[in-house]
Amino acid sequence: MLSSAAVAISLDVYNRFVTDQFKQLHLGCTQTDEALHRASQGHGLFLRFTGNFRSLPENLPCGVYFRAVYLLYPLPVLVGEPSQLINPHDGAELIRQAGNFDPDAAWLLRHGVPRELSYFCSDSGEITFTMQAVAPVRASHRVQP
Amino acid sequence: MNPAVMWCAIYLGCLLIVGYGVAAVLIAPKSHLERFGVAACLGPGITALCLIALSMCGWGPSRPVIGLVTVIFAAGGLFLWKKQPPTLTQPDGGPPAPLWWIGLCLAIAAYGIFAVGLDALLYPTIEWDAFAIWQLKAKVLAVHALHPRPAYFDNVSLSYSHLRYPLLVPMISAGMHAMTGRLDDPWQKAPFLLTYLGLGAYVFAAIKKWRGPAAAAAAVALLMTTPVIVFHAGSGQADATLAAFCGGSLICILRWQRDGRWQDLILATMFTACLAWTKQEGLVLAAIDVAAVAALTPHPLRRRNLWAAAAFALAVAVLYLPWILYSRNLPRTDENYTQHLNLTELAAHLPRLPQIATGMAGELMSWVDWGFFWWMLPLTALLSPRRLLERPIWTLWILLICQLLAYVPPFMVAPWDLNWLLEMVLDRLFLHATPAAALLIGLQWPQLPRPAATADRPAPLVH
Repeated sequence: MLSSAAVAISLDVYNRFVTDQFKQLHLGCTQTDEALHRASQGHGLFLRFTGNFRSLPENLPCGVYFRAVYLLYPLPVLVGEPSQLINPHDGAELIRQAGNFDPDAAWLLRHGVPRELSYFCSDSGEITFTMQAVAPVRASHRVQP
Repeated sequence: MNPAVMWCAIYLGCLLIVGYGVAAVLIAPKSHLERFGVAACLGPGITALCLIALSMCGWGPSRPVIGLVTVIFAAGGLFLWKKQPPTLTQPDGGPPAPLWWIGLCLAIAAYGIFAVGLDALLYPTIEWDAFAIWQLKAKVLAVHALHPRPAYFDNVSLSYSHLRYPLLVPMISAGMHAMTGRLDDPWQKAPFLLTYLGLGAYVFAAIKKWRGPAAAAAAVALLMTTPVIVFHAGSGQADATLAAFCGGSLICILRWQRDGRWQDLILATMFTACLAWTKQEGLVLAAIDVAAVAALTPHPLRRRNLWAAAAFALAVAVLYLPWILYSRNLPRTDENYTQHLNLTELAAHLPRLPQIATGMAGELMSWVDWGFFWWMLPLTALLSPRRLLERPIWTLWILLICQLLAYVPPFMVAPWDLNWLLEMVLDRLFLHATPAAALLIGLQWPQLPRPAATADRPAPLVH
């Protein structure tokens, strides 16, 4: 019994306080949250994923979409037509289900998502994201995460 | 004082008061730890069920609504508690434990409480299922009443959040949002620290009555520091809460079988209804509970037991009925296991069995996920083999095996890559069975010969 408890506690202490695993998780989460808040500015958000996400081992598109919906609720967050079923197994499936949807400004405004956050994954796996506001003035800047 | 902290504390107090309202009536007096255990486990569950019922009538969770539920349960509990006939307090079922042993086990359990407390109170919700499914629903329920039906439930672009999942755990967190008045606060996971503590206290109190404090302290220290439960309990997911309800229902069913007290069956009904309302897997566990009440009692065919089993099943079904009615028109975009669980599909997927068996065995032996928790089951059984003949112990073994094997058929027909699925969910599914395993470890715990002064105490396990 004691050896089981010792193993369990040691593992938890190691993961929690010795390695960077927990810190990295929290840091990654905080950075994503900040980016989403900055992109949203209190408005609904449209997310777009372009480039070579299939080559990435990480499930970034799903993580960002799920996080954005949770974080910004009750503001709307979309990746495609609202009637499109989104139940992805991984990032590639999310992109397939979203259908490379490229809406215009009128559509974005009509669906209450006047802000856009676009992620691009290069062939080398480098990820950049762009924030855009559709209205009232379209502004754009590129950020290196 | 930060107002959010104050409202968080008030909400936790309300949950406990509701739980005590139930425990005061149904648990024998002077069993303080047991009462706390039941109050901390059932309080959030019963409060959430009441909030769901009111939300279905158009009153979403709010401070007045939560206050009203609390006052009703507090008044009802006080009124019925005063009318309760005095009952004898049952003595511990084993010799007193050395203080150093209790202290050591307490220190071990304290680490679990510390770690879960950190996750529940200080860290943000970072586990995927926690924010993508459970805590998203909590926000929905905090913002909208269930009547008229919020647009969320028809929004297929949010299908990944499992639109048809039951709402008890989200409603527990939604109550916190309603009390603090904020959607972005970090306190939504705080109630789950309560259910974790309640599970520990209730399992301790139950084993203490059967086998004495030494066995109880050992089993609870093991249970509360198991890596999987420490990881999940404060994460904002439903699995540890499901385990708490499952543990509570098992204890009550075992007591019903031993003593035949209706209070235990009523408590078991509440725990089992909460199980069904927590997760789809809870329905399977609830069915196992019903089967246990019907078939594993000392005299299953006696009229009293048949009535009890029927009343138990009916009460659980009635308590779950509102969700069946509410969810019948929701879009079905998930795996829909029930549709695939037929003989044809099961037979077609028989070749998956070896892979499932290997995966399950590997998970049970994973020391990274469990320490040596599952190893303790056969070990304690080997150290006291005669105990396997005692009714509560073989009953628990049957229930444990049923709980573990219940997930085999869904794995066989699951539309996902099996390796990926097993890796993703097995630890959580086995978490649901940990209370049964901890109870078994405690009941099988080998005892030193009793000192002469305590040797004549009754051994309440033997019928």
